[in-house]
Amino acid sequence: MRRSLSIFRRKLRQGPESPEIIRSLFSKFQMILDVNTKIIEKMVVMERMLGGEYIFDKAFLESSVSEVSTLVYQVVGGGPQNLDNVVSSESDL
Amino acid sequence: MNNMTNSGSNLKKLQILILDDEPIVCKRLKPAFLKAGYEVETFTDSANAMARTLDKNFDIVITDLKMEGMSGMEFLTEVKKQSPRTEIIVITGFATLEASKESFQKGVFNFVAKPFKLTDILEMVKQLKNERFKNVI
Repeated sequence: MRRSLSIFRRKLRQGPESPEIIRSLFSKFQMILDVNTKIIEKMVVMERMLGGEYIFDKAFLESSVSEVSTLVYQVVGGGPQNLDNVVSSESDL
Repeated sequence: MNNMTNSGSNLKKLQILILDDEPIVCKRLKPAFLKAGYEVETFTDSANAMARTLDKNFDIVITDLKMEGMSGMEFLTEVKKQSPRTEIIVITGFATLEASKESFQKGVFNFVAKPFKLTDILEMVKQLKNERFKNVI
């Protein structure tokens, strides 16, 4: 997310830019926020399950860790170019 | 083998067998059912649980599905064959429509996907006791 923000700021500092580029950057920025929100939602569910009220097993831990890891990777390491796929495929999370 | 047997001798109490290959599930469920006044035996190995059902008829069996060796589906099929009056509740982390359909076809009382609320399964057993086992405490 930090990387995309800095790209966004750099582009803005560079002066007049085509509206398409600005629109595209802003769109990527929004997508990062969307994925970040999905990560937080997933972690809220995990926290609730760990609260003691629920019975869960290793399968739940494995799937939760896998889903969160995938999303986090898309935000910090996978690059904004991969976000289009994530946002569309994870819309049910 | 992990067989944690409640030492109560009052046979009028509702007899529950819990089978789950993850000890944490048994460790969480057992005290909750004991506190609710039932007699509970827990197993993490389906072969040992199967052997125990040959010695004793349980009122309720709570079983996981995906396990090493004999699967939960095979286990519940055998239990129903041996003791048709035994009610079965399936608890699974891999809940699929097929597994649920097959379980109900085999006569299970309920099919519960993990994670589930401890209070929900206690309520389910209480309901089962009130409906089918009125002569036990």
